[in-house]
Amino acid sequence: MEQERYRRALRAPRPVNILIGFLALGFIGLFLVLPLIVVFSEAFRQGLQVWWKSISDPDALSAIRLTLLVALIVVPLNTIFGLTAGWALGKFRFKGRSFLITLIDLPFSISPVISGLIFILLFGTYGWFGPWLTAHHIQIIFSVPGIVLATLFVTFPFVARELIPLMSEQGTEEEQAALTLGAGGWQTFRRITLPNVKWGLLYGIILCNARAMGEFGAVSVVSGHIRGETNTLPLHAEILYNEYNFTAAFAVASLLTLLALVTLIVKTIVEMKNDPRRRS
Amino acid sequence: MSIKLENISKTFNGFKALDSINIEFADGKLTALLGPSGSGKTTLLRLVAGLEIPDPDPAGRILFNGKDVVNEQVGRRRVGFVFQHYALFRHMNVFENVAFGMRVKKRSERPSQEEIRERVFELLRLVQLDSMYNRLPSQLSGGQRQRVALARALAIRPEVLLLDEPFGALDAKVRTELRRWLRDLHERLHFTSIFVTHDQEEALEIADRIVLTNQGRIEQTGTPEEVFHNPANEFVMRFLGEVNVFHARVDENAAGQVSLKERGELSDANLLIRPHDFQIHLENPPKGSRIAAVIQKIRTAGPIVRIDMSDEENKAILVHLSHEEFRAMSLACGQRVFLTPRQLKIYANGKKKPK
Amino acid sequence: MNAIKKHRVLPGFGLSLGTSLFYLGLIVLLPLSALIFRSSALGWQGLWEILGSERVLRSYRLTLGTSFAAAGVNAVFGFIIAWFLVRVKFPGKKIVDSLIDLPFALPTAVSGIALTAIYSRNGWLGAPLEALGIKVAFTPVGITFAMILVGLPFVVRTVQPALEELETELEEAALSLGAGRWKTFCRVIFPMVLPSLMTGFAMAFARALGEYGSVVFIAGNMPMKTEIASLLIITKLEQYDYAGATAIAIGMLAISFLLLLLINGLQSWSSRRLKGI
Repeated sequence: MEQERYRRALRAPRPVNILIGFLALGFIGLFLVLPLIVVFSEAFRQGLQVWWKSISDPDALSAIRLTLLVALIVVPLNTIFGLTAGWALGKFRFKGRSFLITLIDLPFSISPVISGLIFILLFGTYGWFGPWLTAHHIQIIFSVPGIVLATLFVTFPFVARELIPLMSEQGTEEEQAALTLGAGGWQTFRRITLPNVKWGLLYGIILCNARAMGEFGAVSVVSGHIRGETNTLPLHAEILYNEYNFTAAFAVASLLTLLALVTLIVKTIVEMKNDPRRRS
Repeated sequence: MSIKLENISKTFNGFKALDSINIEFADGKLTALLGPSGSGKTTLLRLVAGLEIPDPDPAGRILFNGKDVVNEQVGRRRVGFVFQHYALFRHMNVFENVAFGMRVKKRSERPSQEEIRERVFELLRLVQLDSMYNRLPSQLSGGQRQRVALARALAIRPEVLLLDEPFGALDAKVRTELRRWLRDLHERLHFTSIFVTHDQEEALEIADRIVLTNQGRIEQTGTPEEVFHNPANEFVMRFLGEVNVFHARVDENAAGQVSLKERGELSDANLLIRPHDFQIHLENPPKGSRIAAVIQKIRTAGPIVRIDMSDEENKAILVHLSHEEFRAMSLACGQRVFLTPRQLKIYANGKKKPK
Repeated sequence: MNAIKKHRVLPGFGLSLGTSLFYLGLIVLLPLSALIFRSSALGWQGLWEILGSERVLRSYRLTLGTSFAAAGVNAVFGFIIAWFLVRVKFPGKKIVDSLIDLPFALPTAVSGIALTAIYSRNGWLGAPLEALGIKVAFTPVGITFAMILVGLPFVVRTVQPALEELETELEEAALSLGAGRWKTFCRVIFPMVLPSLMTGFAMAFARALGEYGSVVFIAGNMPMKTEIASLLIITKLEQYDYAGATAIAIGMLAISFLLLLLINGLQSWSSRRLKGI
């Protein structure tokens, strides 16, 4: 009785809740939903055909190809790194471990433009390796390798930072049990560790992928904006926008928005599978 | 298989968990490693399994049937290990958990699907879980998980079975059931088994031999009877059951005669008496040492009667009586009685002294 | 007697740590060291000269000011949204909850052009606001709006778990002691959540400082007026002024590391404070 009374008292009165809801949903609507609506309505403003023409344009197709290529290189590499870092830092304790974790998180706290800049300082015409690269006719900046490197840097922590805490939390008892049963190291990893972290791994991969495909600042610095060659989808959208070709820009943006929405959906599903609180 | 540890030490970050241990586990016996938490008993078990590496200096040896396995990896030692919290593979059902050890064998040694299936069900019948073969660990009770862990450990046909606090996480009733069941199982399979426990009752009830550990050292090894009736030192006696401790004085002049310390005297020995080793007198007995005490509280619920008393210095004394004896004496709270020990142990500086 | 080999029971430590360190060094540490070396070549004098120039100072002031304003707005509304998601039951909650993460998944260029389309002179909201005499696009207000968008999830996602973990017993205790609802909120709930809110604020602030993609479209990029620091770096790079770009970047980096330290400090403070009880 007493408890029930407090519990009821805990809940805010109805008008207050309505006000909170109004403010929260209003803010979300203004800053998150409205931009989504604008993207799609602008993209289809002149009909499906114009939309289709905008994204099947040769330059757009080449941008799509490049974006996929970059993601195809970057995501697997960072996934492998995430797994090795997860194993080393999640399953073992040693001196300097927390410092290493801080280092891994570093790219998150560095502005995208600076992330691009550092590669210019390394490989640009006046960079450290610039003269050597020019002498050997190797181009990194303003070409695909530079875009790949900058994207690698920006998306570097995504998988690792999901896996390290997860593996650390799961401990090593199951792995030890597998070892006593005669399993080798690789077997233990593949059959025990990997299945136990699969949802966290997937979570990290989709976030890494979303960022790899959507990265703008860092890629913009190193790409050189060469149409049909070094333009990723976000850069292509930028160019179209700056040329006042709004419909085409939003058509390309709508593709990226779809990617973001799919990412969000997969993320939500994975969270439900992953989170014991929500699972039970 | 016999297991022998020679001069084994283990240090964790400067903390000496085990200090040059020498011990032999006899073939086919069920041995209990008994001690308080932090005494090094689990470390000892994990060293045998190969889950910990002993200190390289001074170099010790771990012998399985006389062969040094100290550099042999865990998987090669063929030990069945049951973890305290079972460590079942949470993403595999009961069947797959038990089959794991066979599935990871090299192709040339791996049994066929049919053989694996047969062996798994044989083991599941042994632990009475064959009807639950497709459950996930999260769908089992604690006792069931424990039995799956055991079946999984047995599946690789180990020559030695190691159990870390096998009943620690279970509630009291399941605990006693499983205890008896494990004893039966050992009788049937009788290979060398070692289990870790901090519960002296458990060790006394089911072990063939008990190894008592304390602060990284072994205090005593022997059968349950030996360690209970002939504790090597005060620690063992205190650890194996309730005990009353009195400060005593050894009289060097009277050929090592021991008497209870008087008020203000220095004590140089401890006199230990188990609660059931007291004789209660209603009148002051004419000769021999006796303790005058006043009854404070009587608890008759349970298989024995427990009586709290206090002596003249207001020191608490615990006495156990059988219900028959208790009825015959008709004791009451506040009553003044006299106690004489039927049996006592004297340890000076923790060592046993001849009486 | 065999010597005991010192190794770890779980295999693969050396291999996995070695691979991780190599990759970390190659992708992260080597490029970053280039930045450090470049700037040390400038010396303090050179650094001050560049950072002290009117244009750089103005861009710093603009970036810091708008970031701070955006983080402040996010702190207020992020708290309200987190409260709404945790305490109020409503249909479609799961969808709204998922939507909060949109800025994490949406490419910044997309949010940039979308916001610009909304707030430009003939945009959906730009036109009516213009009629009222309020300009958003190509002003610091527009920059702030873009920063609000990208920073919002940081506040919500740090405050939300803190609110979820609040034990109802605590509030019950306060209420049973006679405190009113408003007092309970001010004296019990808010102080408990405050460390998380401050962490969220600092994270949103840090994110806004470095933001480029969503800001660059709506900013207008007029030197001395609406030119943020990230853009100025790019401008310098386009003029092959590596020294200038490096100096501005080092200044930004210093500020964000200070923020990182602050965030770490806040987090350990809050966990110590809450676990100590």
